[in-house]
Amino acid sequence: MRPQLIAALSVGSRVPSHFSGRVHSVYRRACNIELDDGTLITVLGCEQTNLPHGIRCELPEREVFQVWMRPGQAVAADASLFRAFPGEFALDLRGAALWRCRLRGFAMDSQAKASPRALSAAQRVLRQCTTGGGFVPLLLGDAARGSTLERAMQRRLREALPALSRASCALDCTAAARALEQLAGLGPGLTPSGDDFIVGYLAALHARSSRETLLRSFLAGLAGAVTRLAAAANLISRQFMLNAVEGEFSEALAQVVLAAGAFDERRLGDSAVRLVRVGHSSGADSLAGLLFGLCLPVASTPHHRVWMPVAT
Amino acid sequence: MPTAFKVVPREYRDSVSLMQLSALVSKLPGVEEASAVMATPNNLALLSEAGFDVSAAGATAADLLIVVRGTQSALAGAIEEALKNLARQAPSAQAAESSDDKPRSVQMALADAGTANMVLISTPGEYAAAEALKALRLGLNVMLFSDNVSEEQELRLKRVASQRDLIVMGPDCGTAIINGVPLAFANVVKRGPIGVVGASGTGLQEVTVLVDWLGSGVSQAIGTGGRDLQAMIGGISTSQALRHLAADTRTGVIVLVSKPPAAEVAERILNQARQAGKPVVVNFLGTDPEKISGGGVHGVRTLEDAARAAVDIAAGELPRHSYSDVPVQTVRLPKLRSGQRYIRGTYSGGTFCYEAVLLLDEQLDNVYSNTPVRMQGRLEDPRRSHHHTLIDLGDGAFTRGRPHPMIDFRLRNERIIREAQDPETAVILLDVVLGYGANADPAAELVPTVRRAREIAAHGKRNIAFVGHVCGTPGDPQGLDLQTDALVQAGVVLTQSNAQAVRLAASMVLGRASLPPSPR
Repeated sequence: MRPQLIAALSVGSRVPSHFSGRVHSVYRRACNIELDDGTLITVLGCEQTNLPHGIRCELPEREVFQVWMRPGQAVAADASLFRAFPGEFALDLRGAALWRCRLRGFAMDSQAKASPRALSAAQRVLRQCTTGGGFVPLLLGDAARGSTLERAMQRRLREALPALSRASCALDCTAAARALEQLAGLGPGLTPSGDDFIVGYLAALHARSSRETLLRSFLAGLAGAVTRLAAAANLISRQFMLNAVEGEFSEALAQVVLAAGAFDERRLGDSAVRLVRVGHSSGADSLAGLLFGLCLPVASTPHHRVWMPVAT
Repeated sequence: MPTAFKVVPREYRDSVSLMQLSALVSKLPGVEEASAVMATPNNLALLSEAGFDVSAAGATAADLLIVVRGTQSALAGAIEEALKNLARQAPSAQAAESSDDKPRSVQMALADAGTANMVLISTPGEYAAAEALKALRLGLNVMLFSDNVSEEQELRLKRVASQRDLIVMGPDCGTAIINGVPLAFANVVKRGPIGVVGASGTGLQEVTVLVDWLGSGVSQAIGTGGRDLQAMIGGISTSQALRHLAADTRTGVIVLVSKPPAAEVAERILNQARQAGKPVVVNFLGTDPEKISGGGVHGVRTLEDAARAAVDIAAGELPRHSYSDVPVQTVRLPKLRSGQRYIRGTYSGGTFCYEAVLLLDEQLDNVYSNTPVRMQGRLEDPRRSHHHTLIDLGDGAFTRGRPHPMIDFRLRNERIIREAQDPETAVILLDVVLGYGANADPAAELVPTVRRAREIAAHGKRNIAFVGHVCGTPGDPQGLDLQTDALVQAGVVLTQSNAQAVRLAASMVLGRASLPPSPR
């Protein structure tokens, strides 16, 4: 039977030109594919923002992937066509644009005077728009009246974040890796809050490392540790963490970084709002990680204001 | 306070669903705290630190972990409720639905969703017609899930709808798939070129499920309500549905399924079908397919035949009136004692039961049912079987004051045990319906009863055959493979369709070489 073709709009730079694999998990407007080499790609509805491992397509607004795709279904693609077997779902890849995360080579001047004011716009969004769940309410509020789990998580954050801050400021890869180990896989969500936070933190380091040369070797030193943490994560978290090691991030996260780098308060606020709407708490947790990383006073940036609302 | 946990392997629910699940279980009586998180080492350590006893050896970051703290008596129920919710939950982000600003009228809902053109009404029957009328006046198509709407009200609603070029699906419309969205009791099927109209809920489910299994897909599945093709209603909704599907560019083939319609209504609908401009496969159960065929209408005998013929036509192949000879594998006949002569069917789907009665009546004498095809076949007391007996447990006599047997298996399980106690029972026939609205884990409900029934028979030195079919797709929330595996392990012989199951059961009591079920 001839499949119905849906046009792909954009293809992320980490999607291979030829691949085969199986459907891993299916949601209303996103479908994850586990490739034969163990990596992940995600097929997304047109209203979603790009991912380095994503293919956005013109799935009509009211349609859902669950109708077309099922876990375990085989898929294969070449440069022109993506197909699921058995079934009728196919993507025409021929007209799709290549999407590349623009953070590669981006040089953010985190020491600029305008930086703190711009970042405060994103911090405001985090305070105002976060709906609950994940790290952010624990970072911003008082968990004393929360559940025993929330209190335990807040205790963990009170240890791990200052340790990560100290290690990052001292450019101590070993200590930073230990702190990241405490965060990886921690908290609620399909991609646990800790994983999202780490991705945001790495986005900040990448954005700053073009200007702050000391951060480059620190980042390179962390790559191995993050790759090891990614190997223990579930497939979806793993792909985001491996992308982050390579300096590749979601469009939603990258737009916040680019707006922060341009000190454009309004754009930063808007993009931060879009980011916190990703998932239940994933976007907010990665924004928290990003702000944490952007505000770190590393050795070459003595005037930074620390953004660390957790009582230490 | 004691705690309990459950690891659900390789479960990838989105974060919103996990948060909703945690909140739901936390609110159960006797539960102090609950959480659903991925079973990462850090989360396991965190839970342990928070006082949860989580000895989840072997769990990985790809597994979902449900933990509950509460009174001892509440723990097992809370875990069970969480698992049921997981099975029920559409695997999707639906945070908006949890909003406190839920609309309290159709008009309010329409204001929130201005582009909506359809409403699903499920209220007690006495209020349903009034709500449906309001919706029609707002320009909305209506799916009327409610029953206990009188024929007079149904006729009025359908006439109003017809004047406004709208459709009323129902009353007592339990199944529809509209623009790919399963509504009420419906299965997750692929989209494709086949549009289905049905005055029968399980008939619609069977055809759409088989179309999916045969590799094709469904454009729309439109329920009309069981009385639509009766003389008083005159097929108003069926006619509207046919017209919509004839005009729908995504529909290449139309399937129409129903119990026998009134003769004059059938004639009118068939004439309309002949003018649809596209092939229409018609299964009026019990009607000779060749008599209704011609001029673009292709009659078939069974629901399975309807699905197969539609898929053949969609693929450009010539359809047949019957596919009863589809070859596959053979099944070993059970060794029956001389007194074991009868088939006992316990159905949750009314159309399945009716189709079974039709097929058995062709091959066997003395077939009785509460949905008979002939008056002589009507059971005097539906609670007592004699000779070959097929029971529709969804009939009003059984469902009054209790959930439908697709949801609540107690009545069926009791009946199976009673049939097993009867030394004349040779084969127990059953249907298992998956999909939205149905029980979250039918196999878990049935398997203990099947085992108990076998023990009872074995005690009497007998052997009972269980034959059934699962009406479901791999996309259904219950998990088709999980369900079929559990049933097969319990010794239930599963076929691909209801018709195949009935033929196999007949061949068993007739002692013939068995008819074959298709492998899944």
